[in-house]
Amino acid sequence: MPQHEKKPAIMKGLKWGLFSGTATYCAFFLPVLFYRILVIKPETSNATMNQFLYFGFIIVTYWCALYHSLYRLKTVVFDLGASKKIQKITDILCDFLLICGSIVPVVVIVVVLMHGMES
Amino acid sequence: MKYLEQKPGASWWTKNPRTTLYMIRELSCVPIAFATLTLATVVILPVLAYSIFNSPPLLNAANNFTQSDIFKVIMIIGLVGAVVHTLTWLSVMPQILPVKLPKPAQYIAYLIFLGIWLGLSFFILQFILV
Amino acid sequence: MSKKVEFKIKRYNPETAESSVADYEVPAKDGMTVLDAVNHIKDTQDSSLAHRWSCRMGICGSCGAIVNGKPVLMCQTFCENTKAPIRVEPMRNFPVIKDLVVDIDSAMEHLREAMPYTDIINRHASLDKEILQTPKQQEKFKQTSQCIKCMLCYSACPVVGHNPKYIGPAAAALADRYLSDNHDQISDERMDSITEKNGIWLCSFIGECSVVCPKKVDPAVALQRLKVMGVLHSAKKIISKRPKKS
Repeated sequence: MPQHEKKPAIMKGLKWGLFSGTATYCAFFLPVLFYRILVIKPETSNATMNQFLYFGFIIVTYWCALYHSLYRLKTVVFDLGASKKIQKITDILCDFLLICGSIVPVVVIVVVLMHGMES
Repeated sequence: MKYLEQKPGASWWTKNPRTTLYMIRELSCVPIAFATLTLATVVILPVLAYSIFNSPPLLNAANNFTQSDIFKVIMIIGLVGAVVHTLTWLSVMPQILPVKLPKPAQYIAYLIFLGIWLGLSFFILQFILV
Repeated sequence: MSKKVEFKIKRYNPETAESSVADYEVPAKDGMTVLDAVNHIKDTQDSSLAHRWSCRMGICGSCGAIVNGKPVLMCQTFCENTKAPIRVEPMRNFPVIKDLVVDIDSAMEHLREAMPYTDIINRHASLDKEILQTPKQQEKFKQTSQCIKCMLCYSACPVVGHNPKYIGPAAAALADRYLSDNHDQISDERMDSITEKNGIWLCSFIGECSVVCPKKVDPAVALQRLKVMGVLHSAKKIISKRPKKS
């Protein structure tokens, strides 16, 4: 019986799994982050009893929003029937923005750990 | 003999309400990406610059920008995109649960998911993002 | 005077590569389907009209077409329920050979990618002992086994239109049918096949495939199920580093 020797796209699968997880997370937690930024003035906010949870929530939600929105942007460009060249440019741009955007939470975590919670 | 090639084109999603709703669901990523990247560049980075380089002007500029109307508009755009994403994503979740639900039960599941979302949001506002 | 139903049928002449829309009128009859009308046109008015059909009862899947903008089986579409003038076009996303006849070879090839066999003869340790299948086990793949390969789902899916290499809804539903079957012996190879770069990952859950399916196979949900299985399969591959089977 002939078998199809197709190579599985493992990274594509894991990327989709990550997209699905981050999109579900954002569905529950992203609106409240934007709402909080809009409604509560920064200077009136107190650091909570659990500052790790406070910063952790913001950073995790931010990164999930970034990843899932950029993944989806690539899908939208494909859905609109863009040429292969434009799809490639979009892929590169989204990957670049994701890498740059991902450096931010890493640096925030490092700075917070270095300077303590007073920053 | 020449076959006639058929391609969907860019406007296929305007042909019926379901596909239009699908595209709205997908396009909610644009305001979210825009608002998230704005947050990264004009809020988080200047805070970092102050922390690392001890540069008050950059931090002051960031603080001023967060008080401005432009920032508020960007955050409102992000909020709208996030809410559209929530409503549309939670509406498809009942269809892909491991347990197959009939249509009326899917609507009930959607309402339950919305309730969970609102409950979690309230909890986070009260105890985490105070 | 008997009532007449107006038809506008998209024509394509492969000799001249010209498209046109031809107008016809068909005497209305009780219970007349679009297929009945098209057959009447071919028999009595224009014998050059090319279309596929066979069983006339929604089992063979041959008579797929776009009727008033919707992918349907012509034999299951009644003229009295369809707004006149009735526009009939060939299925979308496939090259048109002539008039309403399209080339579905690419989709048929994708069905092979789903590896629609259990390979029990080659793989099962002992064929002396029967492998029992309870009604409950059979129920798991009953829905996806209803597919009649009409290709209306391919016609409705814009991803297929943008990327003809995409495995497509029918093939994915077929893969799901075999993966849910307790007789299946080659689930790993099948998962490898359907999770390749033009496989299930291209699906964006638009859902039109499930809407147009005349047998309620629900390929859209089958695809989401396969994607979850695909993620676990990918993770397993990374963790276990399985040797390649010959």
